[in-house]
Formats: sequence, structure tokens, C-alpha cells
Amino acid sequence: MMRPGEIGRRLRALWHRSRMTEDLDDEMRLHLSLRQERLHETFASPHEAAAAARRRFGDPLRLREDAMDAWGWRWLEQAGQDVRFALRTLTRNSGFALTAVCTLATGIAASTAVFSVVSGVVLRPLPFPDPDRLVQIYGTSPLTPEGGPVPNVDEFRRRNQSFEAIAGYEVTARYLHRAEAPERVMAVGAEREFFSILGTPPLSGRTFGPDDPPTVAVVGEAFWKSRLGSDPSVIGTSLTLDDQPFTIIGVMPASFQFPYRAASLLTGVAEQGRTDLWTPLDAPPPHSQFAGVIGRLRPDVRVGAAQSELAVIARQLEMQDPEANRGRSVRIAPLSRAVVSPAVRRPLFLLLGAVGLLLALACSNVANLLLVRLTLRSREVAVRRALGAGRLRLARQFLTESLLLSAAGGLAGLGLAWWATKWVMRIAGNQIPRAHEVGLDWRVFLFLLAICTLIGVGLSLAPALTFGRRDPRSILQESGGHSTIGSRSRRLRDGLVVAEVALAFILAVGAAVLIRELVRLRATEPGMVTANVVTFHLGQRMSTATDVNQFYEIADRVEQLPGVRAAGFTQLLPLQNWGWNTNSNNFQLRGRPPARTVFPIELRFVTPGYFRALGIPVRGRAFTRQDDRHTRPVILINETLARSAFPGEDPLGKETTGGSTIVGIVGDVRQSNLDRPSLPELYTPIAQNWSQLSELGLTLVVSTQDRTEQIIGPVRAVVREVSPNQAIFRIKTMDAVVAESLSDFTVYLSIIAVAAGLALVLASTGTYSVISHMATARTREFAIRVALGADRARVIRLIIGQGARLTAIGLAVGMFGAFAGGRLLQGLPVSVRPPDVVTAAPMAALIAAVAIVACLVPARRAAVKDPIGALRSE
Amino acid sequence: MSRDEIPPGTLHLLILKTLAGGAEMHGFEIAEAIEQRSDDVLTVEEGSLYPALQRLLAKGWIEGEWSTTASNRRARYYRLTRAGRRRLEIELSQFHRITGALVRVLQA
Repeated sequence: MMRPGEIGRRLRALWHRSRMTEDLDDEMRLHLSLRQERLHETFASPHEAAAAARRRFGDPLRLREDAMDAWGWRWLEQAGQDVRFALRTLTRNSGFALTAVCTLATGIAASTAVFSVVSGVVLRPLPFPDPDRLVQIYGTSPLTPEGGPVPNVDEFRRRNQSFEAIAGYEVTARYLHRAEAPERVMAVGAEREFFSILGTPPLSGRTFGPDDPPTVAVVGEAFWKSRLGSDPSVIGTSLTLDDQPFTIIGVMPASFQFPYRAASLLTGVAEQGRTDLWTPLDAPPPHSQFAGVIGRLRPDVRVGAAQSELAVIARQLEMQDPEANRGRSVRIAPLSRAVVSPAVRRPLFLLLGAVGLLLALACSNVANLLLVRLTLRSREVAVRRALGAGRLRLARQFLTESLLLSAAGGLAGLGLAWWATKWVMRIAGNQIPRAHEVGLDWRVFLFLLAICTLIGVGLSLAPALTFGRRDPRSILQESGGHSTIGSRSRRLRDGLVVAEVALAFILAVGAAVLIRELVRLRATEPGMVTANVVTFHLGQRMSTATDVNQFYEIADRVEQLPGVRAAGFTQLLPLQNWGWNTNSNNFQLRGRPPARTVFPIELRFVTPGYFRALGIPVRGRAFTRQDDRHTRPVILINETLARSAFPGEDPLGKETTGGSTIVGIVGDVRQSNLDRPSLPELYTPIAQNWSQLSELGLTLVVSTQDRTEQIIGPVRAVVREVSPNQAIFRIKTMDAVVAESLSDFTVYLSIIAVAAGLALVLASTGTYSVISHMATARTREFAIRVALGADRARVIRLIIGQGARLTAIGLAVGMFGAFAGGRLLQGLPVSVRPPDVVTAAPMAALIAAVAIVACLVPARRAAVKDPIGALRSE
Repeated sequence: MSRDEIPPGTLHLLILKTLAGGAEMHGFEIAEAIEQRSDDVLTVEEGSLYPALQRLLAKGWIEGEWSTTASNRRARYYRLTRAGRRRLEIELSQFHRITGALVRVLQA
């Protein structure tokens, strides 16, 4: 056991090492000269006396080393020597070192980048105090078994013992009226316990609590910066939303993003993930039903216990009011699970696996390089062993070298990872919650350190395994510098090539499978014409008093613009928004019993021009301007609904119990995404269903003859003229909307494709290096063969055959891996079919072709060589 | 003149004991003192004194201070520390225990 004082002394000794050595030398010199004086009388000459003194003293050099060893820094000195030596050998072989470092950096950067996303999104606790006690509460019903809005929140709050507090919230769009034009903002209306449950302190000002009136607002930092000019005196000032004044009482930091991706929780709004402001809900909604509910558990109450308690309360409520609460209950999930759902988690871990394969490939590539170099260095190592270097000392030297390589690779990788993380977040930021929390944090550094150490140790195993055992004499006796490939080393290197080919094949098949799905999705008939169509979102504060005619008028006037073919409004644009639905109980036909199974029916509110603008076919008749509040209600249904509700009969002219007549059948449109078939849909003219519309706004779809972009200005002008209160936002071509609907998928695809591409490069260079080294090592043998009359082509075939054999084994192994791992791809948010011959065969051919080319170069070199010259040079 | 080498492991003890008198000595003086007190029976392998001194310094049992000798030469004078004195006691009792046991065995 070392005491602190001793550690201090030893550290000081380390620091003052050179001075202490000098002191020691002085001391010993003094001793020698004193002894010499003492012996002076015994010996005749001072010369002899000095020699005797030295004899008595011993070897000063060895003693000095022994003495300095007392301070225990020998290992450090040796490590320093090892590092210096390793640096020297590596810089002498700068080509090798550079290749190895770049290869490692690639693998390390890819895994570090993906890990930093996983760390920020999945591993890091939510940025609230005691995040483990926060839960999300979902309402469940037979129609929404996974969870939907929560009714009776007041009752749950009153009766439970498990929670410190429960707060419901609603996400909504509001319209900020400013001088230039109205603007839409994302607002969260929350019960007053909301902020105290989450516990994040405001950036400035305060949050709202139980005593605040409904007319206060807390704004987000981003909103404060962009719309309020970062004005610190903004607290206490007023903000007009939808003609209603709000007093700003606080600013929340940008890191506070609750509810996460608020807008995506909202039907009809997809793009803006950031919440602009929070206001207290002024009155509980009917039946105190909230779209979202969070709660903070009392300390020591487990999620399971709270779940059972709320389930009991739900049963009591059902007994009290069976009509309203039939089959309704609640489900609780830890908030972290609710924010980062398995649908987010699974693809991330899948990506981590993919880059992990890439890293493994990079490592085996470098291990291969090391082994090649080792055979070239075998004489050097043999000489060092013959001179007395122990096996342990040699192993340590290898370890130092590979640690240096992995450290350099890690450092370069870190730089690359920083850049790669930004790239991943740029393409994936919109798909991932907590994206703003992703960065290089301590977990990432720990991860980096761990993989670098692991790689360093792993790489040093390769030479340690193949070396050490061989008798140095046998190596030294062999002629030539590099004719010694031990069978052990060769087997190891062949194994590495097989592994590399297999890993690259797995990644390539993964990418191929995704590309096949992308091709399939792109080829999917969306049920509408998307070319030359541009879409505009219009929004304003709406109520039943809002004038419906303005939308009809806008559509009519836009249709008259030159170059416009058709224009119409819808409340939910296909491939962008969906989920506004009722259920089949509300769609009953006059004179028929209700359907036995209940299913959801999506609701669409449109103006007449909509179907023409998107080229959606209508059987029967479409809506007209005459279908308004004063005429008989009419509806259109889509083919899917027609098939499921009217099997084998014509729905045209049928009447619902609500008094609406089905006047036409609309073609199926892929509404939610290209991957999912159409749901049953029911269309009504907006003029007849005004009360269903909300402040979320409508989308104007304009189909043009050509030059779509040029119509944007004129359309804006029409809107401004007809209804200056409308905020216009998110102007996009329909093709862009389609592309965005695939962005989830393309993000994962592009990351895996990049990994697969890099893997292919690494695997081919790995194969190349092994084959080319084999060819060089056997130059002499080939030369003899050729000199004895062997065909050159035969030599080429022999070398390529070797490469082909390894590639074939690698592909066979990879095939197993790809088919076993293919199932993991089901974790992605689209349906992915497992790999098959169609995806695997081209990739196998590609890898085989690359491998053959990699072998061809060394094969030709070996065969073309002049045999006499080759034999002489050895 | 035949002289015996110090039994291994006891050099520490001898140095500590030599300094226990309270005098400050440099390396050569310590070596001489050991030899004289043993009536020249024991001889310090002189050079090995210095690694031993460094180990004692590292342990904190002795302290060294640079000063000048009577003949005005620079030398490091060693002194026992309090920890060194405690250590000496421990080692002495250990030594007595062992040698006592050895003597008993050998005389039996």
C-alpha cells in the first residue's frame, strides 16, 4: 500500500528525474574519491588506488539504474521507449501507417457518429429533474388500443394516490398577427401543473402556475429570438394571438422541447417540430379529455403500480357511466419510452449494427495489413529476439504500435465523426425526437476510448498469435526478406479476407434490400397525379362564423389564372397528413342494421376543384359550388370504403342515417404514406361541414400546365386580395411532398448505403493486399515455373483462383449472415421484405467482380515479370 | 583479509540503525560506520548503498539534505525521519524474532 505522501514523493521524483540522477552521480563520485583517498596509503600509485576504489564500488551505471528504479518509473520509461520506437517504425512505413489510420478512422467515425445519435436520443436521460418519475398517460379504447386521447382526466386526478400531479395538454396552431402578414405559430395549451411536473426552470421570467389567468403565455427561446428579437424586456409585454392579447411571463430555454415534436402530434400539421409558446388552458375540455397527458409519480411509486391503480379507476368510471366509458382504460409509459418510442429506437440500433459491421471490417483490414507487414519484418523481429528481447517485451512493442494506430485512427475518426454526426442530423433531424440534444457528449468520448482500446489490443493479438512461437534461427536462416509466410499467419489472413467479404456482402445486401423497397415505393401508384402541382397551406383563426365562401372564391379565382388547370382545397393533403377520422358507427345506411365490425373512416373536407387538381378520378359526380349549407348534404366515398361497406352492390344514390346522399365514388389515394394501402375515406364539401374544420387551416392544391413555380406569386396575390387574414405557409410542389413522405426511409437507406459502399471499398482493398502479397511472396516460385516452361496464363489463373476461392467462401458465409440478419430490417418504419435471390445475386456478382479485379493487378504483375530477373533479384 | 557480505535484506536495517544515533551522515560515512561497528567483519558492497538509500528516501524513512563536508565538498547528508524511526523499531523487533528463532534452531 502506498501512502499519499509516498505517491507525492514518487511523482516529484518523476518530475525532477534528471536532477535527481545528477545528484546521485555527484554522490557516487564523492564516495569514489573519498574511498580513493582512504586507499591512497595502501597503494603505490593513485592510479591503482582509483582502480581499487572502483572495484569496491561496483558498476556505477548499473547502480544508478537500480537506484532510480527505487522510484518506480521504469515502466514509464520503457513505455516511452516503446512509443518512440513505434513512431519511428510507423513513420518509416508512412504508406502503411496512413492506410491503416485512414481505414480505422473511417470505421471509427461511422460508429461514433451513429453512437452519438443513439447517445443523445436514447441513452441520455430526459432533461428534466428526476426524469424516471415522469410518465405519459394514454387513453385506450377498442378503436385505439395503442393509445389515444385521455378522457376523464379530472376523475383520474381526483381519485389516484400514485401521482404527485397530472396535467393534460393540447397542441394547437394559432395565428400571430403582425404588420406584414399573419403567421402561424405552434402553441401548447396546458393545465397549470404542466410546468411544475416537468420542473425545467425558465430562461428568464417565470412559468405559469395555479393562480395565473388564461391570458398569460410562456414563449420558447427560438420564438423569442426569431420573432421577438431576443429582447430581454419582453417579459410583461403583450402578444396578440388570434385577436386575443396574451401577456408574456417567461421564456423557456431551447433545450425545453415538450411535447417533443409537438406538431407531429397534430393532425393536419407535420412540419414544424418546435413549440413556439405555452398558454394555460382556460377551461377543461368537455369530459376533461386531453390529447396528451403527463404525470409525475410520487417517489417510490412504480410505473406498474400506478398503471394498476389507474386501471381500477377506469373500471369504476365505466361502471358509473357504461355508455360513455365502455371499454375505455388508460395505459402508462415512462416518459422516456413515450418520447423515444420503439419505432425510433429500433432503426437507430439497426444503424448502429450496420456501422458496427463496417468497423469490424475496417479492423480486419488493418489486422491484415499488420500481418503483411509483420512477414516483411520477420527478420527484424527475429534479430531482436536473438539479441535477447523477451516475448513479452516484443508483444508489448506490438501492442504499443497498434495502440498508436488506433489512437491516431480514433483522433482522426473523432474529427470525421463530428462532421458525420452533423450530416446524419441534417438528413435525419426531422425524423428523430430530441434531435437538438445530439452532440459529442461524454458517453461518446467514453465509447470512442473504449473502441480505440479494444481495437488496439485486438490488433496486437494478430502478430502476437502468429509470432512468438517460431524459432528465430529458422527465420534468420531463410533467404530473402519476405518468403516466410507461416502457415498460421496465412490461415489467419485468409480468414480475415473471408470475414471482410462476408461483412461487405451483408451490408451490400442490406442496402440492396432497402433500394428494392425504395424502387417499389417510388413505383407505387399514389392514386393521384403529382406532376406540375403546387400546394399552399392557408390558416387563420376559424370558427363557425368564418366565411366559407372565401375558400370557394380563392379556388375559383386561382383557377382563372393563366396556366392553371385546376385548383381546390382539402383539409388534409395526401402523404402529408392523415388521421382525421370517425368510425363506421357514424356511417350507417338508412334501412340497414349497423355493421358488425367497427372500423375507422378517414374524413376529408374538400372544395369541388380538388379532385381535378390532383387528377383523382370520380365515378358518379364530384361536388359542385351548389353543394352548400342550403342544399341536401352530399358525400363521396372512396373505392376502399365502397368495397367494404357495399360488397357486390352499387353505393351510388344510397343515403346515410345522417341524411347524406352518396353521389360519387372517388379513386383510392395513398393518404398516410406510399407504403400503406388506402383507408376507407369519406369526402364532404367544406361548405356543408364547416363545423368540422379547425384553426389548422386548409391546403390549396393548384395544378398547372407547366412552370409550376411561376404560379406561386399570383396565387399569393389572390389569397391576399380575397382574405388578407390568411397566413400562407409551406408552399411545396406535390412531388416534394411525395419525396418528403419517403424521407424516413431514404434517411436510413442513405446511411446504410454509405456504410455498404465503404465496406465494399475496404473489402476489395483487403482482398487486394492479401492476394498481392501472396503473389509477391511467391515471385520466385512463379519465376521458376515460368522458366521451366509454365504458361503465364496458368500463373495468372493460379493467383486469381486463390482470390476467387476466398471470395466464394466469404460470400457463402455472408449469405448466411444476410439471410439471418435480413429479419432485423423489419424494424424500419416501412415494410421491408427479407433478402432474396434478386437482391443478393447482383451484390454477390458485384463483390466477386471487385475481388477478381483486385486479384488481377498482382496476378499480371507476377506473370509478366521476367523470370531471370526475378530469380536474380531475390 | 576475508570479510563477509551483509546478509540480503538487512542493508536497510543497518542504514536505519546507523542513522538512529541522530547524526547526519553522507553515503561514505554510513558505509564506514557500518564497517567499523562490525569490526570490519561486515562489508557493505559500497555501490549498493545508493540504491538502498534511494529506496529509503522513496519510502520517506530518511531525508537527505545537501551540504558541504569538512573538506568543503558537496555531499548529501541523510537523517532519520519520524517514520523511519518507527520503521526501525518494527524491523528490529522482527529481526530479533527471526534471529532468535534461528539461533534456537541452530543450537538445538
